Amino acid sequence: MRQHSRTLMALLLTTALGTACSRPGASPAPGAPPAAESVRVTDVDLGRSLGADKRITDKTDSFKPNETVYVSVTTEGSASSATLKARWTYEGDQLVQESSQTIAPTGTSVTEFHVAKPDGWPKGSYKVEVFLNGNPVEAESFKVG
Amino acid sequence: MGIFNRNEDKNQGKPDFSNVQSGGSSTAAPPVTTDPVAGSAGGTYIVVKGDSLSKIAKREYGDANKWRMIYEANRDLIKDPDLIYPGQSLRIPQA
Repeated sequence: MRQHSRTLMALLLTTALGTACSRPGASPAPGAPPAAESVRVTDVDLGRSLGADKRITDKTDSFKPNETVYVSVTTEGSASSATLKARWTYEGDQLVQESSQTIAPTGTSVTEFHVAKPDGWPKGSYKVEVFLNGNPVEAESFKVG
Repeated sequence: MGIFNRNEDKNQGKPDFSNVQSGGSSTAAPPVTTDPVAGSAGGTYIVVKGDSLSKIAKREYGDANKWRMIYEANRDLIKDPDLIYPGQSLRIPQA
């Protein structure tokens, strides 16, 4: 009887320790969601020209009608797929252009969007809104004059 | 009748942005697809007015002399390396 109790205790202890030790390295259950991917926009800049690193080299919020307008979006984090969108508007409500890029960022990434109008931009106030995965994250206003 | 007239009035005087050219590029790689296009690992670039292959190479690689890489990756689109057009979508190979 005493021998039987010792065997039972040892079995229970082994099972408990085994369960506790296996948790940290355990594989996710089949069908479990993958580890969360996290990307966030950390900086948005406007300007007239870009460097090879896609960052703005000539920041401004005031453009001439014949200039190309660049917006540079810096993101941090990693994801197998993330969509950035730039939505350009004129005088508050008129849509100028909308474009998006789907990227697989790792660490710090810089994505640029640009718009040009061959016959020149009408003078006035403009805005570019930046969206990450459909959610608005930042907006920058600029003028053409 | 009244409604149509009001809409016309509302649109009058609004500038036309239908010819706006847009584009973009990223330091991040595009997502992995099951059927990748050869030579597109570096992304794409939409040509805007005033661009040339050497200008794009300077912007993408920091070296205007690498224009031939872009030309070679887009031989199906570019007949003459001195002639590219606004709105063209060019493959940018990784340097």
